[in-house]
Amino acid sequence: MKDKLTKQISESTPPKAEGGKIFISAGEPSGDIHGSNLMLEVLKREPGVEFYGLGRHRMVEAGLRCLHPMDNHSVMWAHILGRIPTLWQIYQDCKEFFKAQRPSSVVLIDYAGFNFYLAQAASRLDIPVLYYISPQLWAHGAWRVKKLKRMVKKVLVIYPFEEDFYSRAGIPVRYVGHPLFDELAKRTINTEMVHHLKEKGKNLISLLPGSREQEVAKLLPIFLKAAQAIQKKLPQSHFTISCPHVKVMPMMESQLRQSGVSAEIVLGHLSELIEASDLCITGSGTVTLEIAAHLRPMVIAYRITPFAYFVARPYMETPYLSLVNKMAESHLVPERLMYRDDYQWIADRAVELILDKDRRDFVVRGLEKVKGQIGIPGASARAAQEVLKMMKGK
Amino acid sequence: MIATLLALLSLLFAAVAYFRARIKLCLLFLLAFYALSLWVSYELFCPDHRIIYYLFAGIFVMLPLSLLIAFALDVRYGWFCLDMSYAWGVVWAFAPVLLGIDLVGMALRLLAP
Repeated sequence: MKDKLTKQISESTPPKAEGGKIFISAGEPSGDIHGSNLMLEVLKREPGVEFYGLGRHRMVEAGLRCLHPMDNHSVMWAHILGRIPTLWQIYQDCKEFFKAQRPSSVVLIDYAGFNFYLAQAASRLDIPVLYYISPQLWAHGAWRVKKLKRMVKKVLVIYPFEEDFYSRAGIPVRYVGHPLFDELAKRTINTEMVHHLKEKGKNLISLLPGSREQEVAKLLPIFLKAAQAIQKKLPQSHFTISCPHVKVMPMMESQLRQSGVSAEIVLGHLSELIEASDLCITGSGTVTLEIAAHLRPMVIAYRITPFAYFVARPYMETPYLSLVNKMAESHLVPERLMYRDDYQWIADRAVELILDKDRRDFVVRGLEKVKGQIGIPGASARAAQEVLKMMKGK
Repeated sequence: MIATLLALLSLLFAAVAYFRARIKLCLLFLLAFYALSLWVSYELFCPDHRIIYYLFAGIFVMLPLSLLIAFALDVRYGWFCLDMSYAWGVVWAFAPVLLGIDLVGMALRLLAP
């Protein structure tokens, strides 16, 4: 199980890294992007720093000496059981690494289910832990903040309202901004593609069912049914589906064929797709902030089983499903947590947002405010300053 | 028979209280449910199938209750890295099964010549 590099790294005598040694861990694809941006910002300031840890291709490209590639470990709760032995092995290897190499600090990026264990292992060895992109405990499981307090030295948060939540719990915290906006600032929009998408006709509606296979499997069928219902009311509408990577393309194609909806699947080019759209129908993830950054109205829906809804209901600590509405502190854009295929609700809200100009303008004005609050680039640079401060023991 | 009906009612009330986030009330009804169900299971299975009874009691009563206790400790002291709220998932998945077993056992006993 243990790969060559892990063995080599954990069994060798601690090499002297001139600029210091940082252990960094990210499990999700988004964590990989933000982790790589953070690493590049740190290296810009301290080129001698060495990064070890867990990540994906972006972090490896940025210079991570990867103990275990995390490509297959971004899973949702229901699917995690089968991966426990592998995750356990990875955890053991990381622990071994902490003992043998004693990194100057441990930086954890999101991925609470696994990173909490790493935080505990590092804190037991008195290695300072910095949590970047903290788990959304304010939304579910606020009691877990107690254990976070014991394990981490500082939390870097990406939403302004999180700062208060953590400081009330007595955890040193700094609001650094959302790294998504660093990524967006780097991207250049292919205007030709935007024109090409817009030329297809009136009312371009994009369906964004998420980046994980499980999410796509759950949400796309409902979104396609909603598309059918929208097409009945607005026959001139046309649809595109955002495909995050080739892996989910066959599933999307098969679902599209079954639905009978006429839509184009667009691989990647998310920014262009959102920019060209008149409306987005989306899941509730970070993508809602990207849509907000483009000032596009959206309808947000997320599907869980009735059983999961029942079990989670008493512990939902915010009345908002999406970050956009949480930021706006109101139901600015329509959102619904569904436990049945309530596609007609999505279709009705979408038609309303397309036909009612006043409502649409109201939403766009609200999104402008949200963007003003959060859409400032520089989060990775600010986070890098904190990482270096911690590394130097300040 | 009356104990089974009371267990059913307790479970229903517990579910309603839980959904309305009245956790303490829910726990009260759940304890009543587990006590009644255990008693019914004891009456049904213990005389002839002692091992089955202990198996049911272990899986459907002791396991969810232990997880709930672990969850309560986690909420109070923050002991575990894992989000222990899944304990409720186990409770709500297993409790209807226990009730179902008791109901089937009861029906078979009534139908038996």
